[in-house]
Amino acid sequence: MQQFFIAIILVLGIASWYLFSENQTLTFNNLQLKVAIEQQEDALESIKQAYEKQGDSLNGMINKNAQIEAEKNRYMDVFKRHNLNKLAIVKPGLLESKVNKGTKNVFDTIEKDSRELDSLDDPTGDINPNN
Amino acid sequence: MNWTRLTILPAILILTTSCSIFGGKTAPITVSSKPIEINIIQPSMPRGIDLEDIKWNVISTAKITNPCVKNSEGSENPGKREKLEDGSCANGKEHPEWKEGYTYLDRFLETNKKDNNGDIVFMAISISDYEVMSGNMQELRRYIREVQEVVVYYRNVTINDKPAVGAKVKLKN
Repeated sequence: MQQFFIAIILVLGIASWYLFSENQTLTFNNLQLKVAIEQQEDALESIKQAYEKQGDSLNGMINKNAQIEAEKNRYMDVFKRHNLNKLAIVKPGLLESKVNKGTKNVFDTIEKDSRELDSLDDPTGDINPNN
Repeated sequence: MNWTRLTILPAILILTTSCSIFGGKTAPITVSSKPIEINIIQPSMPRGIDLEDIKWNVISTAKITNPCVKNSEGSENPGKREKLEDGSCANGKEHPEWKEGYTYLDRFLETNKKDNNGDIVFMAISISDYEVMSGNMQELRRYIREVQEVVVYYRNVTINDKPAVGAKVKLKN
């Protein structure tokens, strides 16, 4: 009888040790998975931020393009509102100064536009997104 | 003896034959993660455009005003463009070399002839073509600016200040 109880205690002891070690492993795994979940959440947050950044940039670009288009139409409206032919016949001197001034203005704005892009990688540039 | 069999043996049975035993020993897992970095080398931006100014000449057959020369400071009416009774200028015209009815076309042809050693040569463009060319210039400017915005967009979205992290879970053998 005593031997039987010793055998039972032994079996229970081994089983308990086995289950304890299993429990330890599972606790460790649980911890690891929690860390993994946190990392995944971080990754998702990062991806979300990247998408938001892309969305903002895209909206910004669309708005800017609409402004550019509107500006071009505004310039073209000048020709619709004025009869340059008539003005050139009557006051060529006046038109000449306006035309030369306008051409210079267009050239200057094109130069300025290209400088803006050039200043993108300039660390002190106003439109550098990293500033 | 009966109570022992009835209580302890089922307990041993449950403890030793729970489901986890059949699946083998639970393997510890390892979690490895590495940042997914997209390293895009940003190119240096192109140098700005340098444009030279051009001069347009607007020519028509309109007469150029050739006013009378103003009276000198010491005269009776200084600064006045005095005319005689017959309508002619008392001090002469500012450009006496210009004949009566001198037009912008005359002046342009004269200057052009002088600049080209007696020949008349120039590129001409009508007002309507000038309008078309101005429109084309604005269209080019629009295109440059829109492409520029696309460059700015790509630059903004590819400059990463925080890399995304992806986690990978695998069982240890």
